[in-house]
Amino acid sequence: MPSSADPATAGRVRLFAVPGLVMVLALVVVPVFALASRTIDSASLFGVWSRPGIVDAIGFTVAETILSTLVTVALGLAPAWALSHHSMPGHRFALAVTTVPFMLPTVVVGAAFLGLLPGSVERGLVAVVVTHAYFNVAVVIRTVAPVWATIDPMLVAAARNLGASRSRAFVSVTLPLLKPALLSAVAIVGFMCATSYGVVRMLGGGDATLEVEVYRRAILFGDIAGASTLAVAQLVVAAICLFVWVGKDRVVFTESGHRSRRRDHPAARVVAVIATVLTAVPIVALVLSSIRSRGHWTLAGWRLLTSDSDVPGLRVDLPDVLFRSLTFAAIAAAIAVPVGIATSTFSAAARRTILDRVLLLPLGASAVAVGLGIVITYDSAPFDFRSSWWLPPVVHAVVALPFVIRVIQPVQSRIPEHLRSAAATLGASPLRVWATVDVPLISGAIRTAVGLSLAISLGEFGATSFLTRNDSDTLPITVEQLLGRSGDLARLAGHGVAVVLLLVTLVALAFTTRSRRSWSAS
Amino acid sequence: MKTRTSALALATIALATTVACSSDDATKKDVTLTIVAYESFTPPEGIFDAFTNETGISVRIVAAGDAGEMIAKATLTAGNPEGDVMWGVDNTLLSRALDADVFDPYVSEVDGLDPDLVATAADVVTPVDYGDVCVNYDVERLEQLGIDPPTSFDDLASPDYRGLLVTPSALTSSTGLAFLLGTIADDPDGWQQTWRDLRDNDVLVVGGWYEAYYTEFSRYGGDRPLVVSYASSPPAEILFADPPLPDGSPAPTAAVTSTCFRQIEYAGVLRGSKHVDEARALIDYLVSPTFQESMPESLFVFPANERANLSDTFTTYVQPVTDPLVMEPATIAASRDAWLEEWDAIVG
Repeated sequence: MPSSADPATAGRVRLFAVPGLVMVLALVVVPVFALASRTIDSASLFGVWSRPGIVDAIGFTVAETILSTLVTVALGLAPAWALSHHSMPGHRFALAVTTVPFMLPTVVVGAAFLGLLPGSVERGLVAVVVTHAYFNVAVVIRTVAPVWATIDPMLVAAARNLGASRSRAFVSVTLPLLKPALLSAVAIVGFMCATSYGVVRMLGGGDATLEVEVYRRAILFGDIAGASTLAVAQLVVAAICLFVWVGKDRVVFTESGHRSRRRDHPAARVVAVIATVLTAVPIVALVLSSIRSRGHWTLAGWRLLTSDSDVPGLRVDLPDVLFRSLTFAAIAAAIAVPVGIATSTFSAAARRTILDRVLLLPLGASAVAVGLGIVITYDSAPFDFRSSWWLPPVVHAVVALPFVIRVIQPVQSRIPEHLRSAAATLGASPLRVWATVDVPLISGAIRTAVGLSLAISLGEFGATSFLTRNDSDTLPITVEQLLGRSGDLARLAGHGVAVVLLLVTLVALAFTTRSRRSWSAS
Repeated sequence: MKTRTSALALATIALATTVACSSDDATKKDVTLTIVAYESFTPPEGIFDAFTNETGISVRIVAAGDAGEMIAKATLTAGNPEGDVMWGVDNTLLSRALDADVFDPYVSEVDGLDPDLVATAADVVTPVDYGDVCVNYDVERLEQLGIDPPTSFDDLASPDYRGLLVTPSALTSSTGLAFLLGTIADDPDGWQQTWRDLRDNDVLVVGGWYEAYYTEFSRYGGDRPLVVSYASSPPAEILFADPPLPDGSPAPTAAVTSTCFRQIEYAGVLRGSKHVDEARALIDYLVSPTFQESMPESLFVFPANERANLSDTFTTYVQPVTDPLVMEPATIAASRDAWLEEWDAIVG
């Protein structure tokens, strides 16, 4: 809306940027810097870099991030194409299944990969890259597919008619149009991999990322000053990356959203089936782990979870845990989705994506530092939030926000401006315009965003695991607890809770993801 | 920084209040004490009822992550704590808490507390329980291989046991750290050689206890019949076995008791608590026989109070560790970082 915006409207639109910014500042940036200002002295500021392992950790972080991101994006393109272009039986199921890995507990997937990978690559760079790709392919699919679905096939057809080969048409027509979405995917996946903790600890075979070093220093060595130094450096580098990224990427908002009806393509079906099956292998391994013990089928783990039987040392109140996880998820979605819509509204009006990028920052921050930082930032009345019950879901919302934006923004930015102008001419206030024009047109995307936020909250096990919780175990935390104990029943029940997490996540994703139509408003 | 922090906090609260339909009943007259504990602290339901009935003090528990995370936060919030009593700081971590002045000194004088344990508590905290980190072995697999169970660290480093041991890393796992400390306590001057021998003997070092136990240990489908775990693991293998083991059958795994490193856990009054007297009363209750008798079943550890009767289920199966390896918290504090760096250089 370049010309239509009078100063008053523009001012009001700027307000839409506030909630997202406040959340990131209050829950990520301020805590990390508060932690640093409380702990860092000059000794740690310079001393930590000469610690053994730090240089290696930086090198490993850079290497695994680049490799993981490249492999993830490369692997994600085919299913993104298949799922965006072709409706086929089981489409919704395939989409939900390929999204689920992103939400699964690291320990469970890591264990599955330890079992599945050949011995020679079981631990080390290759294992880390493969597992990161497994976790994050969903990001590529979810980010690229919605945009791909709106590319007018006539453009490709025209190029082909002019003699371009299939690959040439892809490189010079499709790829440039996908570029903004691809860059988004690269940013998210890159951040996820750069700050990876659980996967690297489990499969790194002694190699550590900077995030693992932050954890070691803060938690095992008690060198919180050194850890904060590393965490601040990590956050600053993440911010610089974002800045450079923003400078390069001005998303073109002008194209009108085309959707064409495409027939089911056999290749698409094959790709979708392969992607679904590959994704499902570790999931099947997980389900088996909850019902197989010592060569026998058994429901003992499930009985433990579903009855009141009080096995000493293994008390699990599954309904209670499930209810809490669902409540948290609902709160997280109730925050993340409106804030995401507001942010997208701002970006569409300002024709800039800088805010979207800033809201990616939480994914590039150290979860350890954020968790510890929150503890010391909000430590005195009236802001003593430290063990408030609502803190975990609010942090979940911050994590879900970038994903919500990725879903809503491509759709919202394609709403024809003349619709808004017409409504405004007829006397509608900006809020009214937004409520009556924007919201109905993005309702499909909102549903998808709700599903993703629910799923992300259900599976979040980063910063929230460092918060002090008031008797409030969630599903992933319960999984970790059970799998921290010895014995068949502990193992069966722990994997059982992970299966519950998986099922709830699948339901959340499937209910809120309609057919591919939900990806586009027009 | 502080003012800016507050300003942003102000902004946040606007956001926050929309979410948090404030649920504090500020009208409560009675004192509620908060126990900050590691997250696997799961005492039996209703265990505090007796305390509340007697004193009128209610108790709630908040989970602060694992023990290391809990201490990291406690050192940051020293003087302005997240609760009144902390449960579960152990001897490998205690010195960090002492350095940061986390506790308001209080040692319970309840009858029956093991004086040896009290002696390790620096007159600041009260010991509540203990357990051991030990090498475990898969009985059946060693029989198949025709190898006798190892009886010492030296055995583990000998060619007969080549490629059989898996341990969590001392750099990423508290269990791995305890095992490393055990080797140091066993041979303070020669532990580096022990580890060089272990390395040459193909010891497998993995990230965490879970991977060591559930993916590499032969009892769970891996191919290492020796694993660094707990003295409480063999009883769990009997009690939690599925399919259940026939009555009277021998334990499928066992601990090498000469490798056991003792972890002692303590409870203390957090400095800055507004209810110091009540908190002290709660610590007395935590080491009273009533509470202590629930420890073996709920946490698989031994009570610090020798008058607590031990229940059958856990204690029948656990092997007695008569002569565990021990180390003073102060010794650990003085050298831990240097040891870890040396260890990393040998094994990494």
